[in-house]
Amino acid sequence: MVRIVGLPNAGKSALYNALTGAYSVVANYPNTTVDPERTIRREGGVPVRYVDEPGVDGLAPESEDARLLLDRLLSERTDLLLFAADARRLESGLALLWEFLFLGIPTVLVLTGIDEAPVYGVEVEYAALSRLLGVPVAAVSSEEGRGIPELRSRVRTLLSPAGAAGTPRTGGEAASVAPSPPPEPPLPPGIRDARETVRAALAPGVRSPGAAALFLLRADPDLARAYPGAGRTAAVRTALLGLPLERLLSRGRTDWARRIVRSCARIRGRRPGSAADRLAALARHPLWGLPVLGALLLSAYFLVMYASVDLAGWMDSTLAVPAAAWVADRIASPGIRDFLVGDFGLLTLGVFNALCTVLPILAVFYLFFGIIEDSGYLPNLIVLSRTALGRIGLSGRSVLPVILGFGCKTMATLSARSIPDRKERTIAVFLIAFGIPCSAQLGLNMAILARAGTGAFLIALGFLSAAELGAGAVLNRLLPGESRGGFVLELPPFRVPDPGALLRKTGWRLARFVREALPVFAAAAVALYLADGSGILGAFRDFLAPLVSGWLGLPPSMADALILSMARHEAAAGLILGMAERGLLDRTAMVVSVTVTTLFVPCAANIVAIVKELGKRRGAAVVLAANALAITLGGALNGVLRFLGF
Amino acid sequence: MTDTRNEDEHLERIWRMEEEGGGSLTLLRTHMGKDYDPLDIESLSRQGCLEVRGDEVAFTDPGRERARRLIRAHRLAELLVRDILGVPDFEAGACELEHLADTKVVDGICTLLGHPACCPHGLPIPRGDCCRAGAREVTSVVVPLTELEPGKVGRVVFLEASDEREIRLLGTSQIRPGTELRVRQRRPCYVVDTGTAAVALDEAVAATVKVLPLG
Repeated sequence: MVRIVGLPNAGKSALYNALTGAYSVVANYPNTTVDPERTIRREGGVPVRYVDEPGVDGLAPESEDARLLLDRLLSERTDLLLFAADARRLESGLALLWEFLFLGIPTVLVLTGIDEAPVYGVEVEYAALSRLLGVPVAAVSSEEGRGIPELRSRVRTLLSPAGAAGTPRTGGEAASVAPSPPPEPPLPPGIRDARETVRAALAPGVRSPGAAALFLLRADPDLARAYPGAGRTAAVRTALLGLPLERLLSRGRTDWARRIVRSCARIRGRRPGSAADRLAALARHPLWGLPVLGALLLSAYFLVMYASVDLAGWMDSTLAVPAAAWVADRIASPGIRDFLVGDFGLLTLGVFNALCTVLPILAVFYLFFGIIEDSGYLPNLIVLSRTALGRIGLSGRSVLPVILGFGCKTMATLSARSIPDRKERTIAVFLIAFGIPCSAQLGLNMAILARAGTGAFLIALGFLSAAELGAGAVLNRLLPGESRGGFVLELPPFRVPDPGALLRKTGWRLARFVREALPVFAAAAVALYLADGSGILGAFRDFLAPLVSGWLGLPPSMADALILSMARHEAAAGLILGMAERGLLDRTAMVVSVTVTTLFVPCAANIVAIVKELGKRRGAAVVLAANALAITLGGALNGVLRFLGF
Repeated sequence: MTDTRNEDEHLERIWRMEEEGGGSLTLLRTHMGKDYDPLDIESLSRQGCLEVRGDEVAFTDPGRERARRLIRAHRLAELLVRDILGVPDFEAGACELEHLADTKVVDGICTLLGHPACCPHGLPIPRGDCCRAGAREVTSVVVPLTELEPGKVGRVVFLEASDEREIRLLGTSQIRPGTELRVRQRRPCYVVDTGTAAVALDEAVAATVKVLPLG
């Protein structure tokens, strides 16, 4: 097993994609990868399992990500670590590598982004670096594919039985590689002794005893107890006595990294004032940042309008309508015809709706969203939104997960585990579930609102933002505890997105939509058809009518969409889009339905993630509160808009 | 930062020869032994600090000012190390200070010690602005990052964060002692440039980063 590890936003996923030909989502911001991504590729006839691990900033026990990663490293076999370090941030990368070297797992240092290194005045003597570290060094540009074949052949050599046994080889680079575990970097003397005490107390057969002992030394006793192979916690505690451990380790690793960088690399730093620099500064400027954000949102809106009216309309009239007519002509039985191309037809409502209406909208929206992601805009948006979110009790640490919610709510919820404070984690998870649409839903919501006019779009946007911030402020008051904790975020450089990587990502997302959401669209059509035929649907709509029609002012059939949104939000949005196209919704109804389905029940996957992060009780409370609030606010919005005669 | 330590040593030695009644390059070579480097003398005269005519060597005005600052820092440091820190063998520590400390740090030490006139060897300490102003209070030369205006540069001296994770996060983003930071903006949160990256920080975190303003 080959694991790719490193700091957040070090280019691990891009390296994984380049090495394996598989796909793990890449974006220009930290914490894109939340759960490890795995694939198997044959290297020289031998199957090799590659794992793209989430980024960590250390192996200190108090960070949940680090603990999960270390658990995997200590409990699962790892043949080789590919340690990815951004050449531009070499020193920080090495300071983290310092911690990984204690694992005693053969390691290759992979310097990523060497295509951008000259911009930052970075020059590295690879041979000297490799000699100082005692591990092989590879330099790659994952996007351009530079250095990838060489790295692959190096992996092959290191994993082959001959390579692992250290058989001397002749010629080529393979001769210089070190298949044995890397040498341990120096530990401060006091810590070295303490660590030896703990190591001696470990149960025999523990994987990577050096790293395990260091980890236990740093973990608090409660945490240490959770490790059955850990031996006696008493020994751990005794060994700890009186050492300012983290401070010593921190100094040890940064000094080590600095010395190495000084002796084998030159980093002049970039010239400030480049166009990309000025653009980034504009995007996060307290004043100018707002028009930039507004312009981006409106461009997305108009792009989606184009996609849904022109592109989807064209696909509908040239593909879906003739196809449905063709099917209708050839089927004599009215029952089967209705099943396939009726109001709730498997083809019309399910397949054609998904492929001819929803897919083109998503294609355009994902492309736009991908550009935003890869440009490095989102971290600057975090800076911009810092004040507003700070007021409602979110420290900067929680802002990243909340903003990531616009990508995928489930992933964002899982990344909320990086928030150490429980109160803040709850608020962040709630806010992700509540007012933030995932990218698919956002795209479709824009398409629905495109039929109601720009004013409707602005009302929905304003209402959702206000609901989100208001809910956060109330939660901050209600929940016990003081939120604290500082915020440090490295802002990745603005860059022009690579078209190849962008198309690949968009293609991957669309393929995932077809794979995962298309069956839901089809199943929903079948379920609605059956429920309609058996009279259950009518009874169900009647039952919910007071709520849906009375309170929310929506047609009774909107009940279908509300239920469907529990399965997948984009399927529900697809249904509403169909209703809007058939003229079943007036402008107010479009705004209210978009608002309610955005706030209403998070999808099933998101609910699972919520429970995973907050526990059953708090998780259930979050889901129920979000739903109740969604219905309440939706009704209020309906009342106000109708009163104003919108 | 270019290392001018060797040049400084030559300037200080020439100052002392002057105090003792003048000297020459030959005498300088005798005093300095193997530390004497003709390249440094050449470099100093090219920079306009020294005038060399045959065996004669003399300060120019800028050269004299530079030497005066070095001697002042060196002798104050000797006092500080011996009298305040109580280290008997003070020469080893003190001879580093004048190459590293900036004028404001030296003035701070001078005020702290009550503007002393002589070093432990009894040699005169050149006066500084603080002595002429008769300053009684030491203003800190190291300030929190939050006191730097946008566009200003400061060198990180130490991190005061109590939270280990914060120190680690700062370190990961290259904010650690020795790094030079340029403040890019202060609102809605701090953004500093480390040379290779821009880093955003909360005001609370920025206040724990102590820097020496460099202008």
